[in-house]
Amino acid sequence: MYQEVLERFLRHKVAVVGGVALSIIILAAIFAPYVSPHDAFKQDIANTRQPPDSTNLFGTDAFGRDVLSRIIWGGRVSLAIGFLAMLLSSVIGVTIGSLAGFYGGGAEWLLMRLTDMFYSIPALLLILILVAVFGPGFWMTVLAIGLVFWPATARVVRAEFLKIRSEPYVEAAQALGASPSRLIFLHFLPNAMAPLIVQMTLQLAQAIVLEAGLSYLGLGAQPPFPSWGNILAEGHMHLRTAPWIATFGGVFIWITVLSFNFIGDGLRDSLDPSLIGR
Amino acid sequence: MWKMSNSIAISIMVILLAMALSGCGPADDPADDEEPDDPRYGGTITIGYISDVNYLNPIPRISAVDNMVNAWLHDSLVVIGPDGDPQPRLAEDWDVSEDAQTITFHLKEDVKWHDGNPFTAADVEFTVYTILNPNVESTIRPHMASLQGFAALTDSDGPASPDDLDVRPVEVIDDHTIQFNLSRPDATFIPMALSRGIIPRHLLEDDIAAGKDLSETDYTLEPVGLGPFQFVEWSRDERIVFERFDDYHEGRPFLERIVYEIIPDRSVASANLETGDIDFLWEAAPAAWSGLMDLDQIDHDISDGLGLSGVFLNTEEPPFDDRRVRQAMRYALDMEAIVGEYLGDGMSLASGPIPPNIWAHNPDIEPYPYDPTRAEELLAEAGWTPDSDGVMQKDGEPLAFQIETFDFATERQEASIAAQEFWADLGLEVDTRWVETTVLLERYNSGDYEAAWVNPTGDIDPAGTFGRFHSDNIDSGNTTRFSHSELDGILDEARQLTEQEERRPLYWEALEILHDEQPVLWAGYIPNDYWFNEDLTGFVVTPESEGLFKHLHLVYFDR
Amino acid sequence: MRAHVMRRLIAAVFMLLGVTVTIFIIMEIAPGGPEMMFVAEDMGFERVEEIRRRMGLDQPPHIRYIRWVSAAMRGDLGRSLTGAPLPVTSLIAERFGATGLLMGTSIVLAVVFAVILGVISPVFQYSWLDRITTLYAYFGMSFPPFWLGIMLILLFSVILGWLPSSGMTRYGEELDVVSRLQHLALPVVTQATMWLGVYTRFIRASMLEVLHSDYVRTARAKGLAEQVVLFKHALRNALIPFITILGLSLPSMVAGSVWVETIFAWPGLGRLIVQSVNRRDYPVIMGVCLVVSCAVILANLIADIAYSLVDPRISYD
Repeated sequence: MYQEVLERFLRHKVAVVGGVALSIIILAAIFAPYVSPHDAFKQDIANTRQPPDSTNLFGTDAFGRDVLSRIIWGGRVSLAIGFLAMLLSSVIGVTIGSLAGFYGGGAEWLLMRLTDMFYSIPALLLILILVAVFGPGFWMTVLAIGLVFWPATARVVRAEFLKIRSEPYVEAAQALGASPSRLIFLHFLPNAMAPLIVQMTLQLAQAIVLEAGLSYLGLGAQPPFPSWGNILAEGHMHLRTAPWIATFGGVFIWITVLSFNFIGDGLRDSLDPSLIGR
Repeated sequence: MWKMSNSIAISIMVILLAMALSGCGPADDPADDEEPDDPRYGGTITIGYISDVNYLNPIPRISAVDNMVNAWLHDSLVVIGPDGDPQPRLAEDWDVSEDAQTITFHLKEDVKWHDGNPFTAADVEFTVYTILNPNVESTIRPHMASLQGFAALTDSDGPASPDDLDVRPVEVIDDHTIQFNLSRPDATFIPMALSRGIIPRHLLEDDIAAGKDLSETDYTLEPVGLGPFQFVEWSRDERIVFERFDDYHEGRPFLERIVYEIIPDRSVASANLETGDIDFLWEAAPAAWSGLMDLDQIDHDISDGLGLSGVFLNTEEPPFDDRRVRQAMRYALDMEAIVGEYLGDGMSLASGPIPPNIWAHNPDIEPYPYDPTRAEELLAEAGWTPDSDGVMQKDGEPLAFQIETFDFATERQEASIAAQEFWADLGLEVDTRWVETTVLLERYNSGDYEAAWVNPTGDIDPAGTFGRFHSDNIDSGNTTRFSHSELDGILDEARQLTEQEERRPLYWEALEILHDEQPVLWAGYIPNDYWFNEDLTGFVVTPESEGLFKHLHLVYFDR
Repeated sequence: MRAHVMRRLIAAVFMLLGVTVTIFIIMEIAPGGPEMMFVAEDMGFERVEEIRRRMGLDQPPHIRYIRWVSAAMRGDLGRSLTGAPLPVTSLIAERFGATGLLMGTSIVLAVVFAVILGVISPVFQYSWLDRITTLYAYFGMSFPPFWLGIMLILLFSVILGWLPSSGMTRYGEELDVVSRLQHLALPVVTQATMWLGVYTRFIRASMLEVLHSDYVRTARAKGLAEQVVLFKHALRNALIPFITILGLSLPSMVAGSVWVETIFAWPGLGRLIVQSVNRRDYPVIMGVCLVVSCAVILANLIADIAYSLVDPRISYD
């Protein structure tokens, strides 16, 4: 089965392109200390805001640090925030969505109204307030984004469970007295996996964009470790005198998000062949 | 022209070119066509700034933008002139009694409110009582503390009525004469308390009598003032429009209209100046300065103001309770590089809290030089030794702290990051943190912080600025919680005096102490920076940053 | 159907209570407060208690919440504590139009183009048109919106000088349609780009699914004209799920408006949100939250009803 999925994925050209691009970015981020051409943290006040040249391919920032090296290091923070926020959102969303979709009835109604409630709170308002309470920072960004994203996941999971609930084999298993946890983990979740994985990929991408947006408002990850968001925010300040900072920072976010979207589509097609072409 | 560091001169720029400004109407008084040197009437000035006004009313004053906009809408008894001294505005002149406790103001006659009503001494009396009224929120009130009966009148648990007092703080002699009675000589009273806008009694009396705060009155939505420009419309978060007031008592203003545009993103605001969408920008982002300076169509004026940028240290808690640590931290910084690169190229280095354009400034004091060796020696003297990683420590504790600044203050964030590197070289473990405005203000004012990069604005009279280092004021303005009995004594002595020449030597001594003690790592004196369309002429620059806006009736388009 | 709507409306009331309680509690824990706006960087705060009392903040939180709710039920959301002394209702109403204009134009443009592209491209599946559409959809939905805004300003306002970068109009040109359209151009493109991408992809996908479905095949087999098949059967069925997506994208759009409004100096709700939180202007925060939550809940309800109307197979009874 995995063999088939992989084969179908490899036939999806854009998804492969996305996968390769993303692998390069992720590997560079993981091995940042070895692959970055310069020290990403050492300031050089005599060499600030230098345009791109052969030494500093993407120029230097307001502190004389190499922008390319900053971007490579920034991938660590941005990707980690995206991944952890997506994970948090999935844990909450899958739990609530599964319980609602599996049990139905009053419990479902209540849980879905709770989901609707969180969905209807203006996301940014919630994030702003949370950051105000706990102060901005890496974990705060993860928590805030995760808390804002979970209702969407819960809805996807519940919708899948609803479909599966009426399948004859599930009804049969239920009649045979299978325990709820056995049913959820053996029958429901595996069948809901395809849309869930797609949802997770897309949320990862959205989280990276949101982190950048929060940095623009001064609420993202905090120095000294760079994130793509704060590289972009800093570049925005120096837009007229050092446009390369914001330009390259933005291009990296864009390529990454694009890759995730490509991969999300490839996964959808390869996990669920009935949807080929979507 | 831009580095007018110490000069506080009237800057009048006359540029002879034709009028080609977008959004600006043709001059409606073509009589002066032949003589382009003469001021011309007409034209719309579009002024951009990052935030909307809180109150169109001169009394609450909770932000810099309130000061700016209210400066052209309202008028005051005196205004601060280019030399930093008060000049009469709504007043013809004033007399001060022998004991310096009775001040009599003679007001101009035939001054009109924007609604046509006459301005009289009763308006001044009403304004003062409104500021003293504890139901009314005003940041001006502390400047009136030397008035007779101040404590009784401002008691929030039942303020006294002026009629119950032995001596009233303000007495209306006749329609155009008013007398202020002080309980002690106070050199700051005229420049600080009387340079603020007067509000109309005939429109506000009922609301204030009903116990309302000014912010709750409809007046604040449709203000009527005495200033050179009158209110037209306010679209919140978008723009405010003002029109020239033809009956202005200093003469008809040249500009036809002021359009105040709110542009929250500072990079976009400078771009708008570049494209000609706005004519005037105040407080451009330092990162944008060099770009704006390169533009031919933009003129600028950068001159010393009253503001100060520096790292405030909590001197109550270790490690900053040790003077040597504070000195070492300052020696470790190449402040010239930090200021020039991040806080604005044109800001001068600060040696203490008093900028050079104030008479109490002590020119003999030099800012600390960049001297990492001296910094290490001082730390060693204080008992700090580097461990194997080079981190300074004492009794097993590393020398570590957190420097904070506001989340909106991008240039101070950059300066903090640069300072962090210099301190790391010395072996200090420094964290940076950006905090929301209200949160940091709360912590900073209550002593719940270690180090904060803050930009306080000094008063035009130095007494208030020095008061921030008096141990009596811990919890009420002495945010470094600095306590030094010798300094307290000097400041108490100076407060009794009113003559500048007597006060100066005491303040110089105080500055020596502060320089040695470094409760604040002074960085630079924040200049007032104004950027404008090259066709605009006639700006008057004063040490107060909003001062320029109090003389906007003299500004005109010269083409 | 009616019973279902009634149930949802009653649930909505409880959800709104839940939303406001949640926001109120978190604000209560948050450090800082509106009274600090009256304390400048250079001033002491000896009088802070007094200001708090005047603002009514010295009352215990549960009393303040109950007061707020009972006033809100009478349509009174209080007054701003730190700015223009207007009722919160009018502060919100003033900005609602601006945000509505920007979001409305963006949604209409995104939907119109998405429907056109999303319907045509799958008909010519694998053609160059289809490929470009798909690729554009990917590119568009991957831009960080505020970055796109900044780059557009740099290009079209600063370098080329074609379009204004700030505000809704220029003063004195309020009635000038051309000026208004020029001011709308960049913010709308910034906001619509992402949604156009998302919507196009969605519509194209559901079109493909429908075109490959049995009943379309049957319709074709019956010899119906291609136009009839396409527009009467396929399009209608493909658009039904899109209605839900439209309803669901509203909250993200409100969030996105914060950046667009800040960059383009657009006087809308998004900026009011950021500002009021920064100043801890409690009445404004609660008011905005209530209004936006109401809008989102209603939009979803309407989307649900619309869904059941266009698709008779769905029934709530």
